[in-house]
Amino acid sequence: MELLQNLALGFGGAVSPINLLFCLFGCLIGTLIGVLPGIGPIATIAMLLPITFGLSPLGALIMLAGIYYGAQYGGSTTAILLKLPGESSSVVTCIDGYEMAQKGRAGAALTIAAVGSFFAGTVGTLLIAGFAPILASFAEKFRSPEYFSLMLFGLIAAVVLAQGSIIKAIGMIVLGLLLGLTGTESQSGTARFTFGVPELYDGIDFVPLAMGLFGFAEIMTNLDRRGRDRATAAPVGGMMPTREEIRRSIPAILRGTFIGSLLGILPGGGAVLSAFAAYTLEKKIAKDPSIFGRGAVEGVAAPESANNAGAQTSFIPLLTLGIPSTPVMALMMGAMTIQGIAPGSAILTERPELFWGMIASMWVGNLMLVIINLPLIGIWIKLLQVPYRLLFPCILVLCCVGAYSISSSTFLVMMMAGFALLGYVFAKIGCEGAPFLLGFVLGPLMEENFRRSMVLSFGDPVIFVQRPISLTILLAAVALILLIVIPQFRSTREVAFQDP
Amino acid sequence: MRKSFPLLAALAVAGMAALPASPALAQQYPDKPVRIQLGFPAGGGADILARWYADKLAKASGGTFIVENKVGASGNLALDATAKAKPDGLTLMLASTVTTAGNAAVFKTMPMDVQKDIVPIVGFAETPFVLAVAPDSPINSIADLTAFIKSKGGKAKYGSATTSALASTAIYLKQIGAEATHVGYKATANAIQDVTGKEIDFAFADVIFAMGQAKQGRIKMLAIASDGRSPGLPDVPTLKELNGSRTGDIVALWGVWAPTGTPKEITDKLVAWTNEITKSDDTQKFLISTGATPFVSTQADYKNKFEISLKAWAEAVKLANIEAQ
Repeated sequence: MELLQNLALGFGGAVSPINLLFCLFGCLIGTLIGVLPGIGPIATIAMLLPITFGLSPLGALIMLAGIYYGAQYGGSTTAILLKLPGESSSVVTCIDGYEMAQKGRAGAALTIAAVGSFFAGTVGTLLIAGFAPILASFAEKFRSPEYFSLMLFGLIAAVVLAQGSIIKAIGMIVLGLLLGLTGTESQSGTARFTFGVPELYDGIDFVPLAMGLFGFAEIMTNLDRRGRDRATAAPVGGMMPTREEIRRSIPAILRGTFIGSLLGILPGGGAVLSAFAAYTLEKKIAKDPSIFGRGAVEGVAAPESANNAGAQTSFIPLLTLGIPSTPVMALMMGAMTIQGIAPGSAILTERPELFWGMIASMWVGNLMLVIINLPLIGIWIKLLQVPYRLLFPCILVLCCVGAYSISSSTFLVMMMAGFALLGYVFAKIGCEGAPFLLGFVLGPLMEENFRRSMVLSFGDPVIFVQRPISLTILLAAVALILLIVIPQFRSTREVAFQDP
Repeated sequence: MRKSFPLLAALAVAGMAALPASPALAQQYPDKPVRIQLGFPAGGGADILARWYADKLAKASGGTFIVENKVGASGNLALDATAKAKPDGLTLMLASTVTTAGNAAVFKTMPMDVQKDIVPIVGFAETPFVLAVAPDSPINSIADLTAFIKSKGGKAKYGSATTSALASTAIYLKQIGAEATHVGYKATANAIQDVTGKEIDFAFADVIFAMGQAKQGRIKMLAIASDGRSPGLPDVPTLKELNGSRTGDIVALWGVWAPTGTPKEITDKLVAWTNEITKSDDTQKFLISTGATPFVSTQADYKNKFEISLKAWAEAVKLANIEAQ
């Protein structure tokens, strides 16, 4: 009953005309920047932060949060249509979403992504409303050793992501891992693999890497192919999923939402895993894993739901503990500070109207996004009809603008070009980008947490098995390895890793 | 993608709406948009501070001030961009003495010379570090902590995510003549989480974050690392008053910087505007609410603080044995 009263209080604040307007404004901008490759929510929120100085605290937070989950919705659009992942969470959407688009199912993929995201957003919002403090105390049990085990599990699971040879997949993960180690090391502060280039001291930025490796390389491959057979543009198709696609999506959305909600609450790295984990699970439990990588609708539904659920629940550590779990949350914290609000449990007791207003606005925002996005899908898929000779230069320019805007320097643009070449070579020799990116993202987190755990235990590796959560995850990792290597499972694995 | 172009323009306009249009007074500084280099990413504490001042400077001068996040190499990219810019007042830098004096001490090779290529113009706020322990820890004072560290014989653990936190700890440990084990973190929030969870024994954290955590009872603040107490935290004693640790000399004192050779008419204007902003009620309220200490000064004052900082950082880096790159 109390929850209902609280939600009523929240909706009272959130649906005032002015706040609805802020929500709409935030969602529109978020969708837009999500669709524009390379321009992420971080830069946008930072740019709009000064505007919020003069707004009411609730209005400011509603608008900024709208940008954030608007970008989550919009980000899947370019991943599906153009194979351009704007952030780590949409990398896996590229795999099957882009294949669906190639088969003329772009509209269906986008619709399922939007509906799945809405469902996941609703569940995520309810979780925050009902269980935020409990979930936060669970998240607090995850310390360095637990993170190490989780990342290790994620990397092993990444092998399952591969469609081709398992050896190549492992090779790609390790290569990604090595690249991820570039920059300043966390314990001693030593610079590694920087070759004296100051731009590399903080490591390689994800955005130019992903855009080069996926988007640019795809353009080069396309031009290569088109030069030979002058293929016509991909068929457009309708925006409604078929009954069969809906039937297969529903359980995938449910599972994706569950995984995303759970991993989203972990500060520092959990959210990165959610889309990957959801995809991996779908592929593992599928009756016919060989459809993945060829346009499996589950491969869109699950990760898209997972990343949106994670986007919502990542508010939990900020709202209950005052700990920002992602760079975007750090920004939200900044916005709160400007408004004179200390993020954390105090919000709930001192400013309940603000806390519940934000939560109510999350749901309103998700609803708005579905309403905004469904009609837009019709427009987005028409992009595929734009002649490729006009489309690809636009993509290249937008990507360059995005890469430049990250640190106002041309270095990242050049780096992106380098990764484009690398991605082209990968495509030519049949190596996949997804395991590479997973290694790149998880590797440094794993190393950092491993080294910190070892310092904390004064060099005793027992720390990883002494803790129940860490031990459980490690055992699950061992089980996963057995599943891959034990001979009687080999037949299943052959199916899972067969060349498409 | 063609459809996006009008939308892109709309986005740009929306972003600019925050900044007043530049008046067409060609003779008067700033007649063109002023770019403020900032070595920190969008959205962090430094960025908020920079955008606050950029916004107010625009209002005070009638010009346009744009914050450029030139992120990388601990702020060295922003230092370099400023050093190499034309000294016409149209490129400024917002930085603290930690980035300028600190980097000069930490990095073996610098892309520029902080004493020759750039000049401090005016300081405006000090953002000190706070020494924190777990809320339910038996340690209730710096004296308790000192005794605890000594009793552990080097096995007491402290966390740090920044050079400042590491150097502050080194100065404190030197002062008490003890050693402790260093645990590195990428973000102060994670170090403080480990203090709350008792994975580590103590850590220095920036005051803005520490205040929020202390308010929720997630940490205890034992001391502040600046020379004077923070107006936002009048009850937290300074390390200097407790045991004479000179951590205040390496504290972050934020200010406006410019390439060497920027005309005096321009820097004088900047000093006047900045001080006026710092003295204003809403800025005072904003700074104090974040635990910062407002700092109104002349150019000579800020330069003097910078020189003290240069010397103190050189010593602290040796003490902390911070790897030079």
